[in-house]
Amino acid sequence: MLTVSHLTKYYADLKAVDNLSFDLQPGEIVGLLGPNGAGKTTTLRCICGILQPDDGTISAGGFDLKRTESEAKKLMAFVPETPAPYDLLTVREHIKFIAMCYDTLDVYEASVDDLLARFELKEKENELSVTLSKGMKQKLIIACAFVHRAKIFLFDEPMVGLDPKSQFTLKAELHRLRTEGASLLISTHQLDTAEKLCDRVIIMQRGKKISEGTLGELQQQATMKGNSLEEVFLRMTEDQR
Amino acid sequence: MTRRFLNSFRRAFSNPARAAGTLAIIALLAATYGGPLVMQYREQPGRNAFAPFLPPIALVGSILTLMVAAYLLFSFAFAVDSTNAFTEHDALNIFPTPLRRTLVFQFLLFTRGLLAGALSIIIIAYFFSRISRSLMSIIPQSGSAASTVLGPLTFAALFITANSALLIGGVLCGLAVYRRGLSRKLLWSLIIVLPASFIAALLYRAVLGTGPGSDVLGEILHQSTEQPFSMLLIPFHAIAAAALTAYAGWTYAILLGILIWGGLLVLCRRILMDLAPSLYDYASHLAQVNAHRREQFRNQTFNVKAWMGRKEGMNTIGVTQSGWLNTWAPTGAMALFWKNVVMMRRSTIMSVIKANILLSALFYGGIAALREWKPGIQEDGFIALGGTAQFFVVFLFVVTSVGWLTETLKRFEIQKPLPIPSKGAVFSELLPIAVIVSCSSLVGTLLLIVLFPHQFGILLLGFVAISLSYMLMSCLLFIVLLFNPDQHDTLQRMLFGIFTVIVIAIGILPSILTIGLGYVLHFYLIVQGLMVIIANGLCIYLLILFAAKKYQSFNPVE
Repeated sequence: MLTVSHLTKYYADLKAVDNLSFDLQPGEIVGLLGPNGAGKTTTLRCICGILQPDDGTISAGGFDLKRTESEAKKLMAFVPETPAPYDLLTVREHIKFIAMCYDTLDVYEASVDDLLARFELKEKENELSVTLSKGMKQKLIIACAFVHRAKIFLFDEPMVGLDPKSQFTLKAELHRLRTEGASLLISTHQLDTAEKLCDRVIIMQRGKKISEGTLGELQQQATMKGNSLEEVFLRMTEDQR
Repeated sequence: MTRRFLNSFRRAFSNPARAAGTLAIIALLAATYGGPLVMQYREQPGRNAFAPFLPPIALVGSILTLMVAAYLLFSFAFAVDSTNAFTEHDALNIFPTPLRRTLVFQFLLFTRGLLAGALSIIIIAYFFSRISRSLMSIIPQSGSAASTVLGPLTFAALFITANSALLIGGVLCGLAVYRRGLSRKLLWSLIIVLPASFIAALLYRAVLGTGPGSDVLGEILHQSTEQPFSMLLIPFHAIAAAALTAYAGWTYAILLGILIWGGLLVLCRRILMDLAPSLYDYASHLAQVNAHRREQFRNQTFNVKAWMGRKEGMNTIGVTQSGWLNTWAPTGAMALFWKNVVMMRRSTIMSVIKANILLSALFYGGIAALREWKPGIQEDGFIALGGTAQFFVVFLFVVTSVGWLTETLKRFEIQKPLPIPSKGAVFSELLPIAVIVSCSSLVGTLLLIVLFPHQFGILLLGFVAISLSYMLMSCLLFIVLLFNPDQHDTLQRMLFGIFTVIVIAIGILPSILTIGLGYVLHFYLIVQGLMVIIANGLCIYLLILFAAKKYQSFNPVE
């Protein structure tokens, strides 16, 4: 569903992402792990089209992001780490606007009330985004990801800022999406969540992929059978220093 | 509009560099006009500009007194609201250190507040030197050599003492209001009403006293040396007198000034020491207000946040809704246009747009009135006036919509992942204000067409040229902004400011060149109109292509 091939991104002289390749299958949740500055956010931003890669290709559902940008983007939904909805749109207007951009007003009409209720935004639907707390803004941005027909979901630290109940709701949503055949790439520092949620993880350090696989495969690579993802992760990232 | 102007003026004096710059411009104007005034006096002794009332030395003294008074009153007023003296960085990094509160407080207040004062001395000295060139040729220096050396030093010392006393005095007033929950409005009313009453009374007396052979300006200066005004101006006159010791020698006024300002400074410092425990609390509050104001200066959406702050405790706020915007739901790139229009209606830019439209209406109304009252003016003259008015409207919109344009960059992070081609994204960012400019210009054009139906063709051509020029200018500005995106960076902001002026000049070029070419080659107006549309359209298209390319590689995080 998503293929990232030899992705490279520089910030001036700094190589933020170095020759990264991986793919995402339908109905799969992949965790993108790594210490701070590993290049996770840059990778997600390149995939969703915020940043332009210096090298490599990205294709979503067979559409190349560079050549057929709109088609590729239509298949993706991105939830950034820091939610920044438009301050001067109301919650409902914001969801409507995203649907208008993706030309999915039918999905909006059919699902907006349900989305508002699921993400506890119903009471705030006619209030400006600027009035929302960080957690509520995060819920709004997540709700927007469900208002179009995305097949690939990119989440950057989705649990940060959410209260326990919302985290529970989001996890349930992620499981539902997987069941429906969507591909999910989740960047997170919460290793216990990643362990429970993800089918596979990619570990990055200093822009490079240092390991990839299921928990069992990673344990094997690190010769740490029976250890948690946290312990395996710490060993692997320590080894690379 | 008035409030915006006052805010802008207040901002100009809330920062030492801006205050110095503003004062420099004022001083330059005063020097430019003050010098020739004195020269005029010398060359035309028969013409009684100020002659029956004031000798030249008193004239210069009077100008200096009023200037010093104006500056020091501003200094006091802004010390009452001394938000610029403290930042949140100070509150977080310096206040927790074991340094003495009064020391830190005064250091920050003086280094930031007095910097403006120190620069002002240089500016006033420059002004004085410009005038004195004329003065020296008509008044011999009467003071001793010591006076020539010590005079400027006394002036500087007195000026700094007065500035310090007023800075601390202003802070104490602000602190009293903050601690006791007194009415800020009342305090500000006093600060505004007292000098305003003084100015009004001075003007009234000057107007009454203006007779044949004298003018209002001369009479104002004369009245300022008469009772009761001279009595109220004594502390400021003392500073001016210190600056003139080389010509007028040492006077009792200088001694009185030293006593008044010195005494006031000692008294204010004493009170400040007594209030030491409250200083950090107050400074932190000011730092917070300062941060909010900076945000307000940068952020077009701040009016909503400020409104929310005032309505603290309320769970809901009223939101401007519009029927047609609720029902109209375009898709693709036009969705961005829809979003911009919805946001614009709730942003501060809306009041700016309304003010601009009002101003343009005044221009066009003025032209209509002029035609009614001055029938002697040629029709071509009116058309030229109409063209100027239209260009001025575009100029107003370009200058005042810069803030809105800088806001667009903040929206890129959420906008770039949307499946909208970059050309469409750039175009829909620039379109809303361009539409408003066109509508505003169209109304003016229609009015002019009603007044001058024979000039239908040329007026329509002007409208097309102006409307497209705005779009061209905003495209250019957008590109400049993409190259200088960090408006928190002083240099980038400065560059953007300089380029704004250049862009205004360049933006009108394709229209002027095309119309000029059409005029030289005697093309029909309709052909010229088409040429203008093609030339501008081509430029706009190329610029949008370039901006779209830059937009694609633009990193909103950097």
